[in-house]
Amino acid sequence: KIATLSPEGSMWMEKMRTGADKVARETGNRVIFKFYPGGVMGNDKTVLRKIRIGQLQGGAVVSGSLSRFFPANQIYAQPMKFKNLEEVDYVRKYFDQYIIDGLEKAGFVTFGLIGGGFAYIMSQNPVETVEDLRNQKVWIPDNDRIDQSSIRAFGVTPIPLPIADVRTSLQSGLINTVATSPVGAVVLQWHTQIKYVTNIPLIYLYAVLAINKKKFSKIPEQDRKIVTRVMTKALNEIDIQNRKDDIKAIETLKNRGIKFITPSKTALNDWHKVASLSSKKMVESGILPKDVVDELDTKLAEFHSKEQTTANDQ
Amino acid sequence: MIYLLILILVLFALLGAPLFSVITAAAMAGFYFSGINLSVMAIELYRIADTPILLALPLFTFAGYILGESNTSDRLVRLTQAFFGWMPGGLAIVAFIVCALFTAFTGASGVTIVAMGALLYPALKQAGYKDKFSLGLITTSGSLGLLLPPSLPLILYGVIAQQMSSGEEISIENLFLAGILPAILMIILLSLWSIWANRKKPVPLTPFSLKTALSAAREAIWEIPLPIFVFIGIYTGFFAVSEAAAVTAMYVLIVEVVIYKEIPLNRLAAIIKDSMVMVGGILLILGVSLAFTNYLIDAEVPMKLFDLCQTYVTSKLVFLILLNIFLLILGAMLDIFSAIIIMVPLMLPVALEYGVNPVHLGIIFLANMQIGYFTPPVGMNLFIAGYRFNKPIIEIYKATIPFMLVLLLAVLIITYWPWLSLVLIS
Amino acid sequence: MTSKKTGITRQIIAVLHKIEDGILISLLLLMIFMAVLQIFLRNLFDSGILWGDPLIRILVLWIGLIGALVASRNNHHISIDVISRYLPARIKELTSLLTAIFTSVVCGLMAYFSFGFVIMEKNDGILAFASMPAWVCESIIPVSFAIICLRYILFSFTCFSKLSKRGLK
Ligand code: NA
Ligand code: NA
Repeated sequence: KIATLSPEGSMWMEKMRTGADKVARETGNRVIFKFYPGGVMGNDKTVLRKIRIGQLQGGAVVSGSLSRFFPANQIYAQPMKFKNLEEVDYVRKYFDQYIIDGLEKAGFVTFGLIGGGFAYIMSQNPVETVEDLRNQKVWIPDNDRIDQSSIRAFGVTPIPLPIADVRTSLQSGLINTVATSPVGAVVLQWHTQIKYVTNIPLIYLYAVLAINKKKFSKIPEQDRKIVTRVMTKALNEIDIQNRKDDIKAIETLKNRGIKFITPSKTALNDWHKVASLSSKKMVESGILPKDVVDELDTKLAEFHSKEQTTANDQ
Repeated sequence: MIYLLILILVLFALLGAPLFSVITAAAMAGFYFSGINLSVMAIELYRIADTPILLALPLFTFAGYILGESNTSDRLVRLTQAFFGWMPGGLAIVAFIVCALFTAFTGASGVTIVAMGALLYPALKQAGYKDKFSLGLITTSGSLGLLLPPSLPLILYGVIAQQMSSGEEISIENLFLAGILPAILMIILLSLWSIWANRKKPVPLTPFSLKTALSAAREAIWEIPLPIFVFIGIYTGFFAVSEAAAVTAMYVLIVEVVIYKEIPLNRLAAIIKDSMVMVGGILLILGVSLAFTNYLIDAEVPMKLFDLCQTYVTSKLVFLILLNIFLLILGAMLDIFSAIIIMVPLMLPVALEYGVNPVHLGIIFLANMQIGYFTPPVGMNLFIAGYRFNKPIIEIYKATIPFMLVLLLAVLIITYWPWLSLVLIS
Repeated sequence: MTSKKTGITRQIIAVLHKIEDGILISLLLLMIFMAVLQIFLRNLFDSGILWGDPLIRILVLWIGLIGALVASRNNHHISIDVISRYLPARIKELTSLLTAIFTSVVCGLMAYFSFGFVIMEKNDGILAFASMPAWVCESIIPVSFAIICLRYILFSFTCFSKLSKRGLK
C-alpha cells in the first residue's frame, strides 16, 4: 500500500502502475502494489505516520519530509548551489548512493532518487534582488523545517501553508511569491496566478518512493530482487521524463507571458553571498555534515575544471 | 458478521446515540477488520490541524453568535425591509444570495448554517416567515454557493481534471465561469419557490421610502461595513478567508460589546462558551468522518461502487442518470474533497467516452454533491441545522424536502442542458 | 452525611466545569488575538510569527475537542432522534442507558488508542512547529476522549439508578 500526492492519470502514476503490474506478473502476484494517489491519505507528515503504524507500507514523498530520519539527505537542497542541471547530474553520480544508503539505515528502501528539477522564485511582483524578495509574502511548505531555515537566511519571514492552499492564497493575496519547479507550478495551476520568474536555480528538488524497510525485508529475497529491479527502472524513467516535462513546463510558462527575470551581475553576487551563508548555517547547525558538503564542493570544482578543459580543447 | 455489526450501529444511531460515537465505532470496526492499528483514528483526527479552512469555523461561528445575541437581526430586518420591502420575497432572496456567497469561500463545512443562521433565522421569523420555511432555507443555503468562485472544491476539481485529460485544457478560470449561471439558476428557482411557498400568508410589502431607509441605515451604521469588507475584501483578494474571519470576529466583538453595548461582559463568556460547544460538536463529527472516509478509501469502497454502477451504463443518458444517483449517495457519505480526488479520475474517462464535456462534468459533480449535503436521511447539514436550532431531525427533514426538490430540478436542468454551463466559456 | 458528600462532589465538579470553560474561552480569545496580530504584522510591518499559523491551526483542534467535551456534560451531541422521541418513557430510559454505555466504550477505546499514538510520537521526537513537540499538541485527543468517556460512564450510572428506582416501584 503506497500513498502519493501525484494525482491519478499523471505520468508518475502511469509509470508506477506499469511497474507494479510488471512486479505482479513476475512474482506471480506474490507482491502486489496498491496505490492511493492524489493525497487522499494526507500530506507527507500524515503518510509517514501511517507508514509508522503499518496502515501504509510506503509513500512517494519529497526529500524534505525525510530529513527528520536522515538530515543529510538535504545535501542537494543547499540554496543556489548549482547553476544548471549538468552540474547536478555530475554530482548526483557520486552522492545519490550516499543518500540512498543513509535513508536505508534510517529504515527506508528507496530504489533511487527521482529528480524534480530546480525550484525557482515565482512571484506576482518582479523579484530581481534579495531586497525585492524581502518585500514579498513568501510561501513555504508547512512541513519543511530545512526550507524554513534556508529561506530565513534571505531575511524573509515566510508564510507556511499546506500545498493544497497555495493556489487560493495566491489568489487572495495571502502570499504573492512561491518557490517551486516549473512542472509543479503548471500541474498545480499556480502558474495562472504569477507574473514573474526569477531566473536563478534556487534549490534542486527530488522525491523518493520510500518503503518501510522492515516490511520490505519480509518479502522473500527472489521477489525483493524483482521489485528492486522493476521499480528502480520505473523510477528512473520518471526521473528522465521529469527532465523533459521540466523543459516543456518552462515553455508553457513563457507562452503564458510570464516574464523571466535575469538579475544583474551585482544582484546575482548578492544572491550567491546570502545563499552560501545559508549553506554555512546548515552545516553549523548540524543539519548537514561538513565533510560531505566539502566533498560535494570538491566534486563541483572538479566538474568545472573538466568543463574548462573540454572548452579549451575545442 | 459485518452486516450484523452495521445493523447494530444503525440501531444505536436511531436510538439516539451521539452521531460521533456511531461514526467512530464504524470507522474503528472497519480498520480493525482490515488489520490496521487503531491509532490511525488519532492520526486522522489530527488532520483537523492540517486544514486551514477550518479556522473559519470557530471564528465565523463566534461572530455569528455575537450578532445573533445582540439586536443585529432587528436592524437587519428593518434595513432589508426599507430597501427591499417592495419586492416579494425580499429578505428570503437576500438570504439566499448572502449565504451562497458566504458558502463559496467557507466551503460547505456548516459554517453558513451555524454563523449566518444565528443571524438570519431570527431575522426571517421576525420578517414574518414561518418557522419551517426559515429552517429549510437556512439548511439549504449551507451548501448553496459551491459552484461560485472562489469555491475550493471547484479549484480542486480543476487541478485533478487537468491531470486526467491530456488534450483539452480545463482551466480553473473556465470552471469559475461555468459555475456562475448554474448557481444563479439555483438561486432564481429557490427564490421563485420562496414567493410561491408564502403566497397564502405573504410577507406584507412596504413601498420604498428614503426616510425610513436612511434611518434604518443610520441605526445599523456600524454593521453595514461588515459584509462589505468581508465580501469585497475576499473577492478582491485583499483578505484571505482566514484573515477575513479573524477580522470579522474582532470587529464584531468591538462593535457589539463596546460600541452598541448590547452584550454585557459577563454575558460574553457564556456566548463564547455556547458558540465553541457548537463548534466542538461539529468539528468532532468532521474529524471522525475524516477517519471513516479514510477507511472507505483504504478498503476502496467508492471505487467498487462505481464499478458496479458502470456495468449498467449503456448510453450517455443512462450514464448521466446513474451519475446523478451515484453522486447524491456519495455526497452524503464522503467528505467533498476526498470524493473529488477519488471519483473524478474514475469518472472522467467514462464521461469523455460518452461525450460529456469535462468542465460540464465538474459542474454536474459539484451540483450533485451540494444536494448530497442535505439529502435525508444522512446529509451532514441536516444534522448541523438540527443541532444549531435545537430541533428534532424529523422537523428538519420536513422543512428541507421542498427546497431539496427545487434544487433537484435545478440539478436536472444543469445536467441535461450543457449550454447553461458552457455558454460563458465559448 | 451523603448529602454533604454530594455537596462537596458537586462543588468540585462545578470548579472543574469553570476550569474547562475558562480554558475554552481563553483559547478562542488567544486564537482571535494571534490571527489579528499576524494580519497586522504581515500587512503593516512585512513580518510575522513563523509558528503563528501552525499554532492557530492546532488551536482549532483544541477548541473543537474541548468544546466537544463540554458538550458531553449534558449529552448535548448531534444525534439522530428519529425513533427515540416516540418511545414510551420507560423504554427510553433503557435505550439512554444502552447508548450511554455504547458511547463510553467507544470513547474509552478512542482514548486508549490515541494515547498509544501520542506515546509513539513522543518517542519519535517529532516537532509540530518551532521547538514545540507534536505529542504535546496531540495530547488533547486522548485527554478529551478520556473525559468524554468518564462523563458517559457517569451518565449511564444516572440512567441506571433512574431505571432501577422505577423498577423498585
Ligand atoms: Na458553509
Ligand atoms: Na458530504
